[in-house]
Amino acid sequence: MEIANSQSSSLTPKISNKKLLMGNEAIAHGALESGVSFATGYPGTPSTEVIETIARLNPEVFAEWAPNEKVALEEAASVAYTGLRALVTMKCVGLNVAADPLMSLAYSGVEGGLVILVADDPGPHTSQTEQDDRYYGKLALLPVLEPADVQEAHDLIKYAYELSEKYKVPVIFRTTTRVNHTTADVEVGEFITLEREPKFNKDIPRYVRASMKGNLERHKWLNKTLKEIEAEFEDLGFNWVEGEGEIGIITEGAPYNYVKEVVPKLGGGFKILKISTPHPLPRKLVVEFLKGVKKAIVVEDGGPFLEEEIKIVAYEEGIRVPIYGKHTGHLPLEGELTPRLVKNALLKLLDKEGEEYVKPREVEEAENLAPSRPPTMCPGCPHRGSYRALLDALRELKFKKDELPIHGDIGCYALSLLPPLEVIWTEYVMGASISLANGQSIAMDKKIIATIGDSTFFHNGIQPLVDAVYKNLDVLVMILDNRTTAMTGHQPHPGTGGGETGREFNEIDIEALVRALGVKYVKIVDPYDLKATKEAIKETMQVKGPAVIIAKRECIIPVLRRGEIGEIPVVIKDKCTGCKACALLTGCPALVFDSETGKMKIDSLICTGCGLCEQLCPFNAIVYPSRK
Amino acid sequence: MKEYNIVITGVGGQGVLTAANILGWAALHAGYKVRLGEVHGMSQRFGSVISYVRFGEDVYGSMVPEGKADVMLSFEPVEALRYINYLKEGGMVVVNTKPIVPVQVSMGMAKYPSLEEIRKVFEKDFKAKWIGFNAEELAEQAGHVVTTNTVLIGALTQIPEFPLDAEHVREVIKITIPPKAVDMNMKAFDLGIKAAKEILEL
Repeated sequence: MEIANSQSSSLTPKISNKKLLMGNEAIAHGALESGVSFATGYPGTPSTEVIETIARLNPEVFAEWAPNEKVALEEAASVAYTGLRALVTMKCVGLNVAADPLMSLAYSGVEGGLVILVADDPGPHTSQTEQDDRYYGKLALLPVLEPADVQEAHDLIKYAYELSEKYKVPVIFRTTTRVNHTTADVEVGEFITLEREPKFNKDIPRYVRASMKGNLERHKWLNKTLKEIEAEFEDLGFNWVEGEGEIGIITEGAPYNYVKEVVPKLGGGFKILKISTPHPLPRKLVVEFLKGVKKAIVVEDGGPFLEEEIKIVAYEEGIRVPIYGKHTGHLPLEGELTPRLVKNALLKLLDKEGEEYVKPREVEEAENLAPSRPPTMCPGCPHRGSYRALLDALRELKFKKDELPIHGDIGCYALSLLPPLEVIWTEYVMGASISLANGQSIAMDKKIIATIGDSTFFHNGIQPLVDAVYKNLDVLVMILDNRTTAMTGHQPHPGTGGGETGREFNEIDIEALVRALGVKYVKIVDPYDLKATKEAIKETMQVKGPAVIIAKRECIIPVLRRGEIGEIPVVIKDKCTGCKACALLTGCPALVFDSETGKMKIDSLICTGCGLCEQLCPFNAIVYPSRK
Repeated sequence: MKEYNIVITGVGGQGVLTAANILGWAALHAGYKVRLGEVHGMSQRFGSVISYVRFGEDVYGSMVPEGKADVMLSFEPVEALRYINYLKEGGMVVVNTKPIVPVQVSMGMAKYPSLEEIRKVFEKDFKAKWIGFNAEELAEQAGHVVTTNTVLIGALTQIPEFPLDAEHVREVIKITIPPKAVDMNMKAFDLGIKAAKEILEL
């Protein structure tokens, strides 16, 4: 985007050759400038936009989603075995799923460059754990790189490909939310296509892990390679020293920016070592730096990874400079760092009191005055109908509230934990809803319910359903099939067919799949039809053994984008008693209580006409005008 | 100018991120370093949303520290209140006064404060300048409610010492949006400018 004439600006106008890019877009640019020909992963905040951007900018690249991160990593590794460059992306917990191939892949190494982007989420903002995936580098004996900002993310990923190919190992590229989702001015280069003929050379000791002698040899090779990489990191341009002072700051990732912000305000006196290669640690660089300061602090997001690595080196080298950080309580072990936390830690090193942030009374009062607004299921969200029907079915079957465990899974439908539905009891990893139902159906000898989304089912929900059939476990699995991976922004998956780049992909029929596994009782319902959904659940609860209900209805957001909105119902004022049952039973944001009239209103700007409130109003006060 | 900090708040789906991007581009084309900070990912709507816009010669991190926002641009009054800790004392708040009542309020689980109460907190407790008007109504006048963010950005360009010129921002909006929406957005932009001028007595 260029402005032809911005002379009207009050500032000296500069026609910039820079682009404004989100961290993930900059990473995608960097990958395309490295000639990546294959990119895959599973959607997960804050990593998702990388694959989407590659697909948008160059659909020639095979940039498509895999069912889960393990499959993604294996496919990318296989591409890299042939000499082509590949990229895998995932959120922090994704590497847990892909950890199995990661470990063995490290022994095999690669021919073409392979970069594994893992987006950690200190905060956490959108993740189940604050895990620090740099530790996987240490576990798998692989190099880890981490950029501090958007420009560096772009530049560093290009280096990651060179590194990967030079040493024939996959590279872990660790980012955090504050890099992935920061948008900044970036200078980018030209995309390239590598003219390479893919070829896979048969090499048994390298690619077959069945020989224990071979495995031992590859382990030795990997450790030797890591030493060579460490030597390269010693004078790499992405690691540098700046400033002068007796107090050392060793910093990595987004917190480098907070150091840069805070140090001038403290009047200087700090020497900074910026690290972009946390593993393997460039030992000599760190030792030289520590020798030049009286004390040092490690400033990093996530766990105390760098801090521990540096302390090991300092101990081995007999350096007695005190090293502070998260283990010493100068910085917190949990949550993400902020400029204020960094400032307080540095003040402490200057023997000045940190200005402990005490929330002013006025702020406290203002916050108390603001009613909370947690994210909620959208008006027209099909999950609302599924969970409403489930609660109503259980009530009609004489179950008391919270008598029967209902397991949840990862996706928008986890919002069913909030009032007024308050349905799910558990939610932690993809596919676990079904395994948890399996376990408790054995432990408690009764029917247990699992609720799982379509994309999550394909991710890791099939295997536990196999086990339910295999052991004839008494579970009801509700597959909430909204025809997309909604929470991460509507990515396709095997159940939807289609892809990111326009290639023709098949659609896998969930019903046929479930029946093929041997589930005898399978029902498909429309969650907008509360009565039918409720009756199906009631019926299924009487079945002994595994049963599946597929609640099938497309996510409302793509429907709205296509402009296919239905008729909007209205409240008949004379019939509405102001009982609020519609709002209390659904929690739909389109239902607004008008305190002046004491009656409900439907916000026609956000209502999508799903009809749930119309079906639930005890006084038939909500009607569709055309059906009056 | 070393740094200028804007905090944009609202309800998911209102266009907070779009507004941040327009301001980011405008700052970039004015020759500044730019940092926009937000957390994407929960594509559900109707949750509380905050976005940071920082630009200047000396900006690094994407987060605006508490108490350092020169101005707050709020798409909804309660969402201005929720993030008031970011506003510097004596800062300015440009706010759409049309409430979006959280469903928790309709369910009787929470209370929505009156506009007067909210305004009082800004003016009395924080010595802030309140530039509040119904931007949604003006957006409808301009042609469609989706132009609410353009109305608000128009108003923002009028606040004292705002570093980006209104005509410069206007050019950026023109090239950011689809051609068929340009006329409507230019009208919205002007209505925003007019509303702010009236309040600021310019």
